[in-house]
Amino acid sequence: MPNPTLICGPLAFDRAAGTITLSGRPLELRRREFAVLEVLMTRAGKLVSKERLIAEVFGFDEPVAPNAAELYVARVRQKLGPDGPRIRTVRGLGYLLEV
Amino acid sequence: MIPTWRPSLRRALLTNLVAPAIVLAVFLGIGGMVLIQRVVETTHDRLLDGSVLAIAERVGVEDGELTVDLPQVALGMLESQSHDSIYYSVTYLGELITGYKNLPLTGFDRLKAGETGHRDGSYRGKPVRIGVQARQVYGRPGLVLVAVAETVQARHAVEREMLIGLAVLEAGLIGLIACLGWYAVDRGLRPLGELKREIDARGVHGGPNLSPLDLSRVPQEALAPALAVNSLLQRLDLAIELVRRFTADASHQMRTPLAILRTHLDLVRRLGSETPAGQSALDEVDGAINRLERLLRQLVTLARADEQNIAQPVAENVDLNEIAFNVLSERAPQAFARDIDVQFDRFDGRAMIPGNSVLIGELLANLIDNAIRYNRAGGMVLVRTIVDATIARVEVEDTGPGIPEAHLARVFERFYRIPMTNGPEGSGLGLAIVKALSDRLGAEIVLFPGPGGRGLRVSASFPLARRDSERSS
Repeated sequence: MPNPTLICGPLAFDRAAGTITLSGRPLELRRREFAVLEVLMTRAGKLVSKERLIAEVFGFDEPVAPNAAELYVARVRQKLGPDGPRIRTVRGLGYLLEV
Repeated sequence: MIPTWRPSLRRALLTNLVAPAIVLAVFLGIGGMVLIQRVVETTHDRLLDGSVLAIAERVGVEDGELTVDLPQVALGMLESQSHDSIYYSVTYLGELITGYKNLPLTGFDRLKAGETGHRDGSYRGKPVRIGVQARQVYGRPGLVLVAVAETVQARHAVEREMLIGLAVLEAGLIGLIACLGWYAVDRGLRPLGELKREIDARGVHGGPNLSPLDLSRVPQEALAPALAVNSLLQRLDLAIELVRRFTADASHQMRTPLAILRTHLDLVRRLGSETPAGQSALDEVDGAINRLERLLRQLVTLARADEQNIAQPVAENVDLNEIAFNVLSERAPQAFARDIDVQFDRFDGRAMIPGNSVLIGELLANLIDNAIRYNRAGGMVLVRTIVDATIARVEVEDTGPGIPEAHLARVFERFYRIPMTNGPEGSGLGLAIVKALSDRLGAEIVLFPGPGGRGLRVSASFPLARRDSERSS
């Protein structure tokens, strides 16, 4: 049985309730933003390539704008705030949620 | 086990020498036979002529009748050791004057006066040689034919004797050639035998002696293989020396962390693990174990790269871009943990090269590990893939201290470390592994100073996969 709550530093993802909290306060996230953060949290501390992020967030069928990943990551970053965990953009490789 | 067929110098030499000699001897024999027959014929005919002349000079006319006063000496000249029979006849116009009847004289009637002729014939069932002289006798219009015939036993006996002599001479000559050839091979190859004994004698007492063999007495023709043996010995010597040094270095490398382990475990035992000093001792233990682990991993990689088996001709084509991407992605978090930024400049497209993705990955991992380990906080690791007409290249660039020119030549040696104060822990195996793997993969590794003369840029070039194989993949 996987732990129903995934913790990355101050971030907690409650799978059962479908919510992500930052230092106990729930984050207001849109559907895509939520999916992006979920993918990054499940691979926290590891690189997630842009292709993989797009595939997991949008599926393979939807047409996706080339900068979609960057766009949603930027929004999530904004919502995490300056004191929250950092999402690193690695040029040529992808994204990484620092723990 | 005796091989079914092995070329033999001796056999080759004898075949190439004796066979032509035999052919030559046969021709000489035939020529000699003709010559002997001619010489014997000429000399014997001359003797025959002597008898004919002796008789012919006694032919005269007495009271109008042809008479011959036969001298005993005339026929005595011909009597020899052999038991040849002598016949003679003196005829005038086919009519016998004296001597034996019916000597075969056909063909001699064309002789002119004073001429002598010879012919083989047969008389009384035996082969004979006949000598005939035609002679003009005073007062007679026709020619008197004086004939002496002799059976040919003596001639044949002489011929036989000379032929046997010739044959014996030739056989002796061929035998001599064979013997000399045999002996020459023996003598020529003797230094090789000595070489063999020298090699055999080695390695018996106290370890293998791999010093070069003394080739001063080896004949010119056998020098090439002997030199090859010497060069093999030299390489073996080097290989053994390398293994010896490697083992010594490896054990030395392991001894240091093991000593740390022992000391600090001792500390923990005495102080207890709960005290701050005990805790820091446990941290040291942890670090030593990490170092040991890394060293062992590197040694295994090196051994694997050295193995011939994994160097089978590569059938698969792999994408260098993808391997570089995967390896860098895997290592990037380690860089971030040291406050080092990472960037991947990727060639736009596929970079297909023939090779084994595990080995290529191992090579890149070592380069990237080095770039992270020998770097500075706030520094940068840049990995770049480039494809041109014939090669695919990965470049790994760091912002570390770089490699001073004096050490460039030696950094690929196993366990070679650049003396550095405050340098990171290392085994000195990273670049040795890179070298071994690149040799295996046919890649070329070149070290450059980094951008602006700082840091290090390592370029690994791989030959591109051929077009047709790329299409089929």
